[in-house]
Amino acid sequence: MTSATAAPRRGAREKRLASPTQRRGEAFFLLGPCVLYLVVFSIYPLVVSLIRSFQDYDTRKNSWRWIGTDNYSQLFSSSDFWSIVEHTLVFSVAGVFIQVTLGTALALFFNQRLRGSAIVRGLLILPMLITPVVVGLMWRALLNPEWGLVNWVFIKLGFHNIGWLSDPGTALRTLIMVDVWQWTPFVFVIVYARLQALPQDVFEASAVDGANWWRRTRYITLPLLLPAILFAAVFRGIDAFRTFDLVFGLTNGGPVQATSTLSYEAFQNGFKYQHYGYASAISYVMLIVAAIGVTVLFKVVNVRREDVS
Amino acid sequence: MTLRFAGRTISYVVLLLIAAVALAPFLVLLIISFKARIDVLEVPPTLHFDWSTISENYRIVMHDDGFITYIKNSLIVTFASTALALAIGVPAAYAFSRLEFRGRDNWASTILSFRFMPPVAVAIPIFLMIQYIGLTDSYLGLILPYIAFSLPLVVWIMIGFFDEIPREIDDAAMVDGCTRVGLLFRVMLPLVRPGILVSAIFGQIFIWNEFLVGLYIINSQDRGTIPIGASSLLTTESPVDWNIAAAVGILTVIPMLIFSLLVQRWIVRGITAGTVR
Amino acid sequence: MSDLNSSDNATKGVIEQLVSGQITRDQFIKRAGILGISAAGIGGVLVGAGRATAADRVAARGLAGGTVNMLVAAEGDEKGVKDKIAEIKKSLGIDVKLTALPVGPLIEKTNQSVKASSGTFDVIEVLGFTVSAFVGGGFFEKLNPYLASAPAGFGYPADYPAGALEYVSNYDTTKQQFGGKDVYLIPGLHGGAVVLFYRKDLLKAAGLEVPKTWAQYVAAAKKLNTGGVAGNSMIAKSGDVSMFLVDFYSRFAGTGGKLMSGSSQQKNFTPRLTSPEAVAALQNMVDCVQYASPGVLQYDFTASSDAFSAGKTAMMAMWSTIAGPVFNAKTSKIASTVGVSTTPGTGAAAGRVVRGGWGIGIPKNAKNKDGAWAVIGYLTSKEFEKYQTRTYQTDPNRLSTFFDPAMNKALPYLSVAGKAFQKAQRLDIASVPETFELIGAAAEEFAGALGGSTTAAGACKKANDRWTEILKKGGHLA
Repeated sequence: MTSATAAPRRGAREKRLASPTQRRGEAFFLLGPCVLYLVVFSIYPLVVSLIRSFQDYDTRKNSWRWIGTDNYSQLFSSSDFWSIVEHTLVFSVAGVFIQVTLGTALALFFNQRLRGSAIVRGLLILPMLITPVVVGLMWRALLNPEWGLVNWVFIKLGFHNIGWLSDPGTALRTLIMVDVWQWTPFVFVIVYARLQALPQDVFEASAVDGANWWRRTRYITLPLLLPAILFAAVFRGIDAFRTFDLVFGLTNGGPVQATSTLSYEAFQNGFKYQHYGYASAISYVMLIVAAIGVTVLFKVVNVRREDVS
Repeated sequence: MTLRFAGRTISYVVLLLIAAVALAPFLVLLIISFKARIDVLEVPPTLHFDWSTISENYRIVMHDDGFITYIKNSLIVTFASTALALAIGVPAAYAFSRLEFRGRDNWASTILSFRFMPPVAVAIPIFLMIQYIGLTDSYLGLILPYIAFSLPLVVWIMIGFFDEIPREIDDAAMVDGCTRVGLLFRVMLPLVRPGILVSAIFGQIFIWNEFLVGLYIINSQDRGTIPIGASSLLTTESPVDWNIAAAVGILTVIPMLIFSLLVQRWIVRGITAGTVR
Repeated sequence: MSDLNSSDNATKGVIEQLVSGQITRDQFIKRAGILGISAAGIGGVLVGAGRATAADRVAARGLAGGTVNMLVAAEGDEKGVKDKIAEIKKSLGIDVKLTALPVGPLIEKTNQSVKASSGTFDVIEVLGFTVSAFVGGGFFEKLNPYLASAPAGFGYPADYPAGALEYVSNYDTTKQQFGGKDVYLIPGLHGGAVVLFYRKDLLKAAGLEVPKTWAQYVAAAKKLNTGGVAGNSMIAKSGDVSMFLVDFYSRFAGTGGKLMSGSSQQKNFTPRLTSPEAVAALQNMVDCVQYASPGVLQYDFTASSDAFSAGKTAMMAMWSTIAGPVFNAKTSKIASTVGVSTTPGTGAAAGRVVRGGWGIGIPKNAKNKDGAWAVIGYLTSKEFEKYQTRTYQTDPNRLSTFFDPAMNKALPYLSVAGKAFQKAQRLDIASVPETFELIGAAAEEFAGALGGSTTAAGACKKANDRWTEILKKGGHLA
């Protein structure tokens, strides 16, 4: 809130307090290490990988060969590419939609005084702190077709044995379910934080007006929460878009490529098959989409700042 | 009154359900880690509590499989890289919050966008670099790239915290003859301490879990981190020892459990300030 | 090779006399000296035979010492090595630093290490399917000079099946093909073949013989598929390499199928996944799924062997390496009623399975090659292989381990596994670096047929198309 209002004044103060050379020195001292660091450890590797995306690697000869845009044209013309894009998008969009809905509901739920809710809140964030390898392992045990707890409960309830990870129609939904389990807490934390920061008088006034809980939530609380919800959605959307650990740990992209995502495809080609060039091309396609996502993210952030002030 | 009471009861039931859904998978893991290998396969699932089996399972994980070392390494690497990322990121965030320069906001956005690069894209170039400077299989070899991974988020969150501090404080200090650098260290750092904690927390989640880059850089078990050590559990070419794997899961969850209970209020605080200011 | 063979017979006798206690240590050293075995060689043998004195250890150390960095597969191999690190230090004066990884990361790690200017590892375990990429790429040291000085009791090459040597030991880097005179890897630390596991009690109760053909296998599975026990199981998880290697290939090769025609050198390396044998093999798997657990489509290596050990499966074809846990009452409920045979098939092709296994060698950029060789010598010795097999039940490579009476008493499946290992076939596509990609693609498409979303012929066609695409991209098919 302060930044938006303080911004216009700031420039004038700078000029009055410090000479241009002094400011340049300060900027250099403060920003230099960070910029230098990112140039070496982020930008340089990204440039290398961009170059690689126009090359082909021969693993026997250990040599690189220029092939122009062949990796890209091969990627876009590959029969599986569009279905992989589809899985990636379904996984990201559906997963994030559910996470946002549940996360917001949780935030509203925790906005009441309940004994013990602080502890549950603390435990609720545990899933997002766990090593992905362990998450995969945990759910493979839970969903084990023979002795897994989930199937056992379902069969007791009178359902058939469900091919959680083996039925092409179900596997992607299972992945979304696990992703929802792991990342709903993230949305919850963001929305809850926003909810706590809202001025209480708004609610008190509307309560006096006699509006019921649903109307208050629908017309007052949710619009106020919208910036936080959007922020969480975009942030999660990008992360979901590049999810690889979960696919790696649970399905390896199967059955019949039903859960293969772009980043898994990149991993598979780069890490398992030594097609580094092709993997770099996939990564770059992803990076461009992620960059668009980041731009959208900042639009959301800016919209929100204006809203708030 | 009765209506209110019913409402409270339902709320508590829901609260329990939420806790159950979040924690049930961990409980199942815990139960599996108590069993002998053959008992894992029992249907319906049964409870076992035989101290000698439990201690054997955990002994194998801690000593034979070396997870004590992995946990120690993970703590060292995570702590060191988070601390260094803060040392580099906090001054930069301060500059982004206070200094005027061309394209400032675009630069800030660019830095955050590095947070979204797919690790597969950069793992090999980074590995080759670390190899070139001769740091493979060392803590420093892991710490250097991990700083770069958590830096964007640190900068992003810290900008939010610095923005919250009224500029009048800067002005007052500088009128008193304090330089900007002196101002940052003497005046600002104490004020943004919560922010430092919060960005440390967010930065370390990623580092704690990082697997792909670590796998390239680390060779020996003496230097392996938890995700690298746990990766051998994903083997598809030999049978997974479920009870041992579950014990690994539990053992690596414990530091995080303690951590999450300690820091949960800071996480909420961090997002309030860093993203929803 | 010829040096080795000429001294082989003479020295073999001497060493065996030493091991069996017919001659003393001093007599051995004297005679071995006459036969021209080097000091280090003598030391190594004495250490291996457990008859070493401190002085011998110094002799063995003569050429070696220092640190040896080792990369091995996390498939049980690392356990035996870990047990012996202290002993290797004591007897050879070498510090072994061990890195154990699952197959995928291991391959990538090998790839990065062997191509660096200075290698990370002195000893690397290489999966047979990657021999053409790594040895063929010229990244491994020729072992012939080292072998020439190996003690004759070492038993190379006589103690190994010819097929195993052709697959993971000898390679012709000029012609880029398996076999030839140059040795790059010693078979180890574990082998691999496929055998048929069955429940003796259930077969007997149903009045069935062990199936001899795959048609009989389906019929038996149908009959055995009753009340809580599945008639058979398989690895049916999509993309799982073992689905292709174990279940498909045993049926395919067992009925005389041939995977490829032409060769990569001629640029006409053509897949034959649409051949009648291939479609029939996949159809047989589809038939078998009916008599398997409802969860079979999720079965990987672990799940399938777990179900068998829990007594829920009557028959399965599986890597023989699982036999150890299956026969062990501590990890298996059916340890006393399990039987093992070679896999079914037609005529002479019956029992043909895929050749699995690893070789262990020294990368060209290793820093401590002498130390590396001393460690390899120790870890591929008869004594160590017996120890590793007995303790962790991984598959051996040596005939002297497979057919050792004492070993078979403890591990009754071993001689059957040995027969399967002798008869195992090298996978045609192992000769190109894209092996895993091809296997993975086929295993993904085949899953479609197993799950019923396409026919066997349809899945074979799709897999064949993907193979063609991959082979063309790799320049093996014009």
